[in-house]
Amino acid sequence: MRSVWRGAISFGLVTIGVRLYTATEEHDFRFHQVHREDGGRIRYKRVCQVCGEEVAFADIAKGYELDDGRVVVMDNEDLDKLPINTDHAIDVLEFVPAEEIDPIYFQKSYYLEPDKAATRPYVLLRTALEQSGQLAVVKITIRQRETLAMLRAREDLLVMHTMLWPDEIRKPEFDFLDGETEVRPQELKMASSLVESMAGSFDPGDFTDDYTEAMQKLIEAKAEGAELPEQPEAEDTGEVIDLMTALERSVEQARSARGESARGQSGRGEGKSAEKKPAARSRASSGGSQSRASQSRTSRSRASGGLAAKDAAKAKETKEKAPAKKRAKPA
Amino acid sequence: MTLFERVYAGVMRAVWRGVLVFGLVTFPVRLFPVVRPHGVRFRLVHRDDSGRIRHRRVCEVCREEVGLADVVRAVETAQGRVVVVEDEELARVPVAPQRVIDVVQVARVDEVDPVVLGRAFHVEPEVAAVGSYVVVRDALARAGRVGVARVVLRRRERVAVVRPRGAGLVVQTVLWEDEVREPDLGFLDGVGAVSGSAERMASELVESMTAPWDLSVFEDRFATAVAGLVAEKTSPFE
Repeated sequence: MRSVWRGAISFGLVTIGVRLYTATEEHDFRFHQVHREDGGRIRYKRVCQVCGEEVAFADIAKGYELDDGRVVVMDNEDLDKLPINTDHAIDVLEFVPAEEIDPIYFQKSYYLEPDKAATRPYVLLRTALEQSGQLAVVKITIRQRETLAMLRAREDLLVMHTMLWPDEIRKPEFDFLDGETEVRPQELKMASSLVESMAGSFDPGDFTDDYTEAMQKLIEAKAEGAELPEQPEAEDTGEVIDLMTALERSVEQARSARGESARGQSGRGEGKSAEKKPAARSRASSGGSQSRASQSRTSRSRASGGLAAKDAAKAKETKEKAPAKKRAKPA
Repeated sequence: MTLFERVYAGVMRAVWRGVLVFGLVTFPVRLFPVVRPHGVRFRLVHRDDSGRIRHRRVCEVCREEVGLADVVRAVETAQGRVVVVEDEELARVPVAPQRVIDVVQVARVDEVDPVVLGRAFHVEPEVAAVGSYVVVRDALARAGRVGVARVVLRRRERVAVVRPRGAGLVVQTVLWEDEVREPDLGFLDGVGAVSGSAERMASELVESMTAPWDLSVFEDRFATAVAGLVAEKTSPFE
């Protein structure tokens, strides 16, 4: 791992030298662009729209276009004069209770490593955050941008999450929010049962990126000149039912799936782990997922609010794919 | 329109339309991006003549400019072979249904590690679906839980959480497990226990600096400074 930033946390009069490491890395499938005729990689050439010449990086500036089309060119000296914090500091502004934080603000995550001499104050801050259940609101300048961020104790480490600025969060302007929508108590009760019956522990490892896997297979198949399998079309057998019925049937389905799953596991004497992840497991055990599958094929239905039964039907097909990875895991 | 209004103007436009599936409850919704980046947006220009910079596609092999129609996606294999992937082939890659937010599980709010959170979207129900939307929202809020869903955004399959937020629902994408790096930092080896008095002091400091959560008290001074600079450089033009 290579650090992306070096500086110090200042916390009251305490200074803690730290380095930041990117905590995440998207595994997006990245294609190159190539010229169809000769397979040559496409490169981008920067060309000026006015003089038509290729322009070197050194001759490119930031421009701000006015309403009438004229352009204000910003020089580096202009930008250098801006009052930004360049002293490599993570300034602790205040502390807030963890449960008050709206996750919508979270952006990128970084792990913090202390400099050798700073290990003790680092562990101290981490411990204080953990014990108080608080997060530190900090300001940091990364790549010339002032950014708001949070420091959080995560296992043995401090983790920093960069945050959006409040004015960067759009307010939802939905008409339905203006009117009063009545929720019928029995519907809410049924929906709450459904929530309960689908409850499980969230573990990102329960899910597999089927698309990326399929893409890899496609590339491998093409590399060997093999034929591609056709995609079967999902059938639409949607039956229109009302919300209450949909809720009731969903609860039944989720409960029965859970029951079958527990039986499937009991043979191996794994009662404890079956308890731990009921919802995920119901899909994980092969018995459970087969019964789900056949059920969804025969009694595929949707609530009256729905327009896209076909898509809903397809959704049921995907649920069958979900367990693939879980099944491979030892119980 | 003033400069600031122009910068902050942003129209909400749906980026996704489909159905939310929760058990057998299915209702049509639209997604709107939550983020509207603030700050002045620059474009690249040629310093000499203020001309806008355009990016032209040029082939590395034949050195010619290539039209979009002649550009294809490709992957380079470990042996250096170039495998071209056509649009039709890509369309046949079995992807989860494109128009479904499929809630497959319900989890406790505090189980979702903020490290895995990605892009967020406001969820709006279509007119006919408000009833279902409100029921699902209230049931999740009452239980203090979030839905864990599969969703396809821009042909990329993703896991997402569906969470009540105020009067609405928010969908926020979640990284795949292998997208989170495991920290491998050996600095903790040999670190003894923190002394009790230091711990108390640190806790006291944390306590004394504690405030309720309200990000609006902080200002992006850099963005403001850039906007000021732009305004300053603009005034001689007007």
